[in-house]
Amino acid sequence: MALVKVKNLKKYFVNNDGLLYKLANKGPINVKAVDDVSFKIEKEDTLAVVGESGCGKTTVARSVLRLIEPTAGEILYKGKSINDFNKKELKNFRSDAQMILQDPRSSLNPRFIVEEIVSEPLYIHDQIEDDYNLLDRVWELLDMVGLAKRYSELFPHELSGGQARRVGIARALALQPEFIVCDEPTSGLDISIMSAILNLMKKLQQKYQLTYLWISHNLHEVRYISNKVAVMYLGKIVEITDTETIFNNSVHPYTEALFSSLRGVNDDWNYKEQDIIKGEVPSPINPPSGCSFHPRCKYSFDKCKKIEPELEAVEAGHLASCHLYN
Amino acid sequence: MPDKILKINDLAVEYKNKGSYLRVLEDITLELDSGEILALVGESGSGKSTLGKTILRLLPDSARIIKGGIFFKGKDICNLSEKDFNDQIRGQEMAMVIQNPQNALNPVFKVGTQILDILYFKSKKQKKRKELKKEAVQILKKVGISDPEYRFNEYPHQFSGGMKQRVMLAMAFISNPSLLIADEPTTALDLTVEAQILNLLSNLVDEYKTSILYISHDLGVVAGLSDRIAVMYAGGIVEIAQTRELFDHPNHPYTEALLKCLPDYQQTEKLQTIPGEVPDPGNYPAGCKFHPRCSYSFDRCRQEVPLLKEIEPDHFSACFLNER
Repeated sequence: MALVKVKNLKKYFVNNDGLLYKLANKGPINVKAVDDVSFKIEKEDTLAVVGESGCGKTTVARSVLRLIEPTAGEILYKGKSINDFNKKELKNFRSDAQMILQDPRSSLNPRFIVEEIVSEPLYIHDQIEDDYNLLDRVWELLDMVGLAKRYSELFPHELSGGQARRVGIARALALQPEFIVCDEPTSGLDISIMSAILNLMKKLQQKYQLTYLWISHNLHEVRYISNKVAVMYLGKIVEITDTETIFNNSVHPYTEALFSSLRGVNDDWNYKEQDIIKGEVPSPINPPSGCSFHPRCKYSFDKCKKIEPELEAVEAGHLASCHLYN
Repeated sequence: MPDKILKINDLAVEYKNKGSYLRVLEDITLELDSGEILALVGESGSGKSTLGKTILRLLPDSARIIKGGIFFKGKDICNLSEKDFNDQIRGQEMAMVIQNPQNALNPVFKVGTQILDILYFKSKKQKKRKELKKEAVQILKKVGISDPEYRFNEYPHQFSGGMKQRVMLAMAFISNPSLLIADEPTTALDLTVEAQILNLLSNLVDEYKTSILYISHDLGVVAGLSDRIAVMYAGGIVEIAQTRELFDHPNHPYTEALLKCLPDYQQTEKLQTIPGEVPDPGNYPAGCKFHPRCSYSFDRCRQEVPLLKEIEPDHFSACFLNER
């Protein structure tokens, strides 16, 4: 059984406030941040969700943890819908599923020392026997993420970006979760620190059998950390399969375009001769008709403008939504 | 022999901080040919943006150049008066594109007006703004903005991030500068838009024969853009080489370690890391600043400061390993 299963998740944000807007009486605007997304994550897998800004990947991450209520659809955690959880079940879920937030520094309380930050979840979930053991537990958690004991007395502003990130990871691990949602955990970090964090996350996953939902726009990192990849465009998953396939045999034109802008330092290439995708991501308030990628797609034909493609299997375990293949 | 557009000799810059001075740049020696793209890479705090700002004299009052000189087309620009620098160099011969296009455009003026302003001053206030409008629309069209006539009358907030950066490039190229300093112009942009902007930049360089000092922390971007790369560490340049040469045969241990850290899309085994952290200015170790993190360091590294030496034609590195 999949650890997390998302079925037809939809999240529309309604924009109808503002006096002028009400006077004009145009009715609410639906921003389709996430529109009919389904996927599942098996235990100990890492599913990476990639896409450009505004494609809805963070909204998916938040919905999966029930930090926002979905407009429609169902999210199953260990076979139970998280939106039907009662109070006690929800509290258990909160300790089972954790999140590592995007900005390493602003996600730490500036008035707390590291010890308080890391032990706060333990207090909330009533997992403290006595204060003497508590410090031992904090030191153990810091040791797990590669920080020395002395860091437990520091304030967040005394930490570097990489250290702050490690504290965020220690806090997420405090309650021994099974599932961690990582929202761009390496953005804003320098290369040498980023590689250390990636190594750490991989080591922790193997040691504690963790399952990750990994949100990212860095494709190099995705190749390294994940074994499944979902590519999102304008609130929809356009292609989902395992990592090797998406890097070697992707079928959707958007995936192709996204990955063609990705080159390593080992090849001889330059931007002048690159075949570069035109246009920008359209607004989700007013998405194009048919396939939402058709205005930028070099293969688009008549059908693409009229009919929206379904996410269908191209081969076993490889889904894509494109009229070229289905 | 092609002319050197920019020549920096043994430059050192200090910041005043609570009564003491912090040296943020040291022993910077650099040359830039005309029409060349030189990338300046390094981690945050390595001084790459400070170097860019020093060249354009955009440093705050608390900073001062204490040693060395900057020669632009053979002329020492450190000793120019502020007025001369403004009249002759800044915005005329040298332009800059900054990281965040949102902060660079004035939010209360129309984009077209802001372009017209530059054209107006470029014509030495001789032409009327109305006459220049056609030229301004042409410029917008050239940098790939669709429907330029209509966009001309829009405000910056109506432009997307990528379009704003296109406008910034357009404005920088109006005066046909000999040197463009680009300080991480694509950091705030999405992958596909980043590729578009860099493609545009490459084409503009071809057309205008402008030299570019491209500041970046993204080695992947730099690989596809630059002719040469200078690697900075803790306020100094540790290695300069042709792009392919640097990636294929890195000489300095820092460059080597940095390249190994990179999660390349072709590799899946465990990533290498560099132990320790970048030292803060004012707290630099004695000798080679990289020695506490370097796996090859020996006695001499702790005592003497290595200088950039040519180890192969057009490949400079500051490391004592080459003299062993």
